[in-house]
Amino acid sequence: MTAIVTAGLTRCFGEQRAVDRIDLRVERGMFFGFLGPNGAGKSTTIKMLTGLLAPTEGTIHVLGHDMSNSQEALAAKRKIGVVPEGLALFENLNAWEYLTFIGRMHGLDLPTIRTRSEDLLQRLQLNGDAEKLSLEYSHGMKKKLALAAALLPNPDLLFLDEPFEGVDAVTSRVIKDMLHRFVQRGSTVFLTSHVLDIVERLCTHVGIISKGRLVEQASLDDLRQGRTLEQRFLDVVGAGEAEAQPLAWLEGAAS
Amino acid sequence: MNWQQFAVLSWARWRVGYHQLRRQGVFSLIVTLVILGIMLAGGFIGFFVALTAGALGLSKASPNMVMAIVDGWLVVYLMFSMFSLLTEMQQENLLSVDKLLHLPTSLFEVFLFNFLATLLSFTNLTLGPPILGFFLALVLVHGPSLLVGPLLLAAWILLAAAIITLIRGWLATLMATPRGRRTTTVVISLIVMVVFMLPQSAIFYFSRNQQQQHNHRTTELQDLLKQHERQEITNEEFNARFEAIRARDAAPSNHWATVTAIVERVNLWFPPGWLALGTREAIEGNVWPALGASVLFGLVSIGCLRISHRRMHRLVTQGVSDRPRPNGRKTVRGETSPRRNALERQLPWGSPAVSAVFWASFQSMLRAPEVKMLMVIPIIMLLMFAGGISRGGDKIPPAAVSAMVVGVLAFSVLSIGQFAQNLFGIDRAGFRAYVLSGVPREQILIGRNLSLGPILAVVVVPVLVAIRLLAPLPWSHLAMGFVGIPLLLLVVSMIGNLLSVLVPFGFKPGTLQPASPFGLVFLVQMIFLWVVMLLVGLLIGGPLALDMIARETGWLPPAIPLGLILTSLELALVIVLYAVFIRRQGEMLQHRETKILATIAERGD
Ligand SMILES: Nc1ncnc2c1ncn2[C@@H]1O[C@H](COP(=O)(O)OP(=O)(O)OP(=O)(O)O)[C@@H](O)[C@H]1O
Ligand SMILES: [Mg+2]
Repeated sequence: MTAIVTAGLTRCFGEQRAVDRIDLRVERGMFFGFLGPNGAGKSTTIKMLTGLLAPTEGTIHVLGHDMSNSQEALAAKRKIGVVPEGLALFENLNAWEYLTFIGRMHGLDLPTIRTRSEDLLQRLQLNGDAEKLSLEYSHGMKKKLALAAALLPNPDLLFLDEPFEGVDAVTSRVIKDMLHRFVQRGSTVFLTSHVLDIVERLCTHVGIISKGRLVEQASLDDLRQGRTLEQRFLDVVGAGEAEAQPLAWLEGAAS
Repeated sequence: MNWQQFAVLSWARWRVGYHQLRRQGVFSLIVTLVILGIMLAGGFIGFFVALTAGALGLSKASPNMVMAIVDGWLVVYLMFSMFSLLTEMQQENLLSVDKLLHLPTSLFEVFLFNFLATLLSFTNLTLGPPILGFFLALVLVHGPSLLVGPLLLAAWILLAAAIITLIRGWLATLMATPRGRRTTTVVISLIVMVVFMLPQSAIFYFSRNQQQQHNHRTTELQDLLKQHERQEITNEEFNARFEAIRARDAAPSNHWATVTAIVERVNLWFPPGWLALGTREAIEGNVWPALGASVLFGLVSIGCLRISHRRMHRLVTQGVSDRPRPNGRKTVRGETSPRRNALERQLPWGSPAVSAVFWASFQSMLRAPEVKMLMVIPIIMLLMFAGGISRGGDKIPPAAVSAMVVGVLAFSVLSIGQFAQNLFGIDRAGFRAYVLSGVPREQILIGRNLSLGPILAVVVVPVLVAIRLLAPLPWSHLAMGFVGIPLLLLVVSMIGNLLSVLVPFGFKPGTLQPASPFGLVFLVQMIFLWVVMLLVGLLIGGPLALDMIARETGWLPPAIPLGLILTSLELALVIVLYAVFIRRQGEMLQHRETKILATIAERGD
């Protein structure tokens, strides 16, 4: 069964087509990197795939469930973990409470919730701050808590919107290893990131979106064709003009 | 600060305000601009009106009258200032130092700009011109010695601006952390609320006194009439005593004198009142108090400004961390044992998800300052009802005591209604967690609805118990009040769920003010308010009335608690209705959840 399939997926904000007729296909066991410049439509796509935003047009199937059908959407949501763009934390709960909440919403039993929360907080180096309200967390800490919550129910499919942004080097190493093993056991990851090094090291497949259009979708090796991912990415999104001209006043002699 | 910087700062300030307004919709923008325009024009016109009216009429006004007018203006001025401080707190402060300090401008210049902006505040622009006209009229009427008036006024405006600057700086330090920010906003709102209630309670007290006097007179006259009818007194005697009573009451009671004395006392002890007092003294020929007050105001202003500037300097040089300190609870790094927490508790029935939603909402609400604010409601109610009872003594009819049950319930349910009708607007990111979950939506609604129960109970129960202790409230009526808690909770929840799903709205952070105060949301809130009041009257007041009628007329033995039976039946019926409707409402929620999310969570949140 395919993990994610979309057909003609479109989202408009007023006149603007933020996501424009995208046909995605992500097989199970893929580590899928979704790349694109700022404002290309990555977050918008993830929101639609996870049911946070209604598509203007097009269909979505997640783990075989048609997301336009409310009962099937619920079934899909029980099997996925999400770190959305704005996160989904309760300001006034601390980390233990939040993880307990997520676990119980997924119907886990208490001993399982406790062991898993403990493991996750330990791994993500949040255990020293587990009793603070998430209101008081730093940006990176919030990201990590959201990631812990996404992993807690042991999902089949993970949607991560920029999971490494703001996260320190030690933890991001831990996360990379975790995700790597997660995919190795046959689960699927769909992530966006601007750090091409990470994508290159982790992902098996890559999609590139630019101005709302899906311009590439291939395995990493097919896409690279022997060059670096960065070179290919710059080619594909057409960054040529932006870098060509030096700014005379900025890059000339210092005053 | 050079001219260009000054201009660009003013421009930026205006643009920020404009965009904030525009985001709330065109309608809102137009209404606000029209109101602003009217008020500014009003201030301008007010100048001439005050000047001409004053020049024509003030020669006849007594010095005390002038004092009262100035005092009235002062009250309005203080309220305006408080309100604008409050609204300002809820807006992002463009000109906060940390946004400007990395630019080539000095701390002192930014400070000065902010102070000048305060002097040109909306309050001063609308309320300043009329009072200036008034003071100029005084000069025209009473001669050049009254020129101390405008001087005193200027000193006062300066002082007010300096104090506002001081408070603002103080708030900025308090609000450097998200938690502090919200707590401060709530505390300030509370203070404002209390301040606004003061005059009302004074009026209440005053009118009660008058009422008592009136009652007293009525009984006196009735006695006299009866005596006369029974021929116990002669006609002459009757006439004489009647005239005596009339003469006593007709004497322009010393009201005005008493009021003036009180106002004078207040003016003396509450320094802003020196503006009024100084003016009166000046009219009476003594300009020294006004001069003294002006000098004092000026000195205090300079002091305040120095303190504010120093504080700002300290804030910038030593810096406050944007990150809140760990809030007291010490946690040792490496410690991992999961604490048992409230979220692990299971309600006696319902799925784990219902319990999780219940406890998560309950816990969040307990920690949210908006809800802590609700806890003043029982205190206010206690003051109102208990105060009424203790003053009324034994003379309060039992029916009135029982009716208080309805009042208490109505009051409490209305305050809970704020949350019930917009279940998801308060914690935006939290709502995202619900949308992402695979839980049937009716369970989320049930958990959210029930979580308001304990809060309602905490508001209602103590007040009812207190009433029972203070007055002869029948036990069955007390019990009705208790049954009313789950009954009204479910009723309000059913309506509230519908509104939460159909017309959700976001709050301004840290307040209970809708992000866009005008328009549909406002209308819906008003209608909700009325419907809830109506339902409380119907569901609790109805059975109570029947109960009391049955007792009065005696067609039911007093042992049968008719009201209690009726409300219990209503409760059973409402539980059934709730169970039937909640599924449907859950489906509605799921159908509209992405729309709700888009409404309550603006981009960039
Ligand atoms: N709620 C919204 N209202 C209006 N426009 C929106 C909204 N959400 C997204 N957009 C627009 O849609 C486009 C895509 O936004 P999106 O957040 O998906 O970009 P992104 O690829 O995630 O960018 P980044 O890499 O910066 O996160 C942008 O042009 C953005 O302005
Ligand atoms: Mg994004």
